[in-house]
Amino acid sequence: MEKVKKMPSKFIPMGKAEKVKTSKYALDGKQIRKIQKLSMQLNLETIELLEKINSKLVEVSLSPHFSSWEYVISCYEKENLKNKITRRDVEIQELKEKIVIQKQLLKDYEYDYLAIIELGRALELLNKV
Amino acid sequence: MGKNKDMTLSIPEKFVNDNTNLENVADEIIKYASLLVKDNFDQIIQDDCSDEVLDPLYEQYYTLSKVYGKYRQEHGVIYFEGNELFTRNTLTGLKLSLVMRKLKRARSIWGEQLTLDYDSAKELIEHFSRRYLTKEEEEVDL
Repeated sequence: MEKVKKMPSKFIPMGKAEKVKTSKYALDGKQIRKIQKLSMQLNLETIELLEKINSKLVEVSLSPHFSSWEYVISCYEKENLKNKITRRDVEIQELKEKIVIQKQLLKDYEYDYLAIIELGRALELLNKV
Repeated sequence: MGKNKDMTLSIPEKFVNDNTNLENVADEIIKYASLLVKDNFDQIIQDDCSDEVLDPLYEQYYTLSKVYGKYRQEHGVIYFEGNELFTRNTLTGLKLSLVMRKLKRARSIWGEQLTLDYDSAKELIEHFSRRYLTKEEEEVDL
């Protein structure tokens, strides 16, 4: 007998998604602009992104791990913080490197200036001979 | 107007209760949308996301931001100073043709007996001109 494949947990059977009761919320201008900005970053059409978000919301609500939206937010906030910390770490590292380079440039600029002034003076002296 | 007709979120009723303000939930959904559309929800939700875990992370981020601010300030000062010196050298560089002419003249008069390293002097003038006048030397993106 053919073995029945177990469904992956993320898979939402047809019809089940439709059974999730939802409240329609029309985005206001500011919210639309944010979504548009994000869709550009993700290289998606705005409507496409909204559809993706809506389907993810259903998926999240059907997850066996879902307890409350507040807890979901905490988890996203944690993820967000982790990403921000990593980014800050990288930015600090980059800034440190830029400071080292810039300090070297300061020395170079000063050295160049003194060298060219010195050459100018040497030539002046030669002229006077 | 018609275009915005489809700009709606379908918020599952499990997300809301009598006290929920849908506008706030929508704002939250938008805020975390870039994370929401990823496929790692189950993994994220199974982590410990309690305040005990979040608070130290906030603190860590705050400390890092302070360090970052300090470095930005230091970089700003050095960058400003660098700009000043670069401008000064550019202005000095405008007199370079004069220096070059003097150098050529000195060589034509003294030739091999020139008490100045002609080649090094020429190299210095060319370097100066490349860096400050023609800006051919690639500047570091700061």
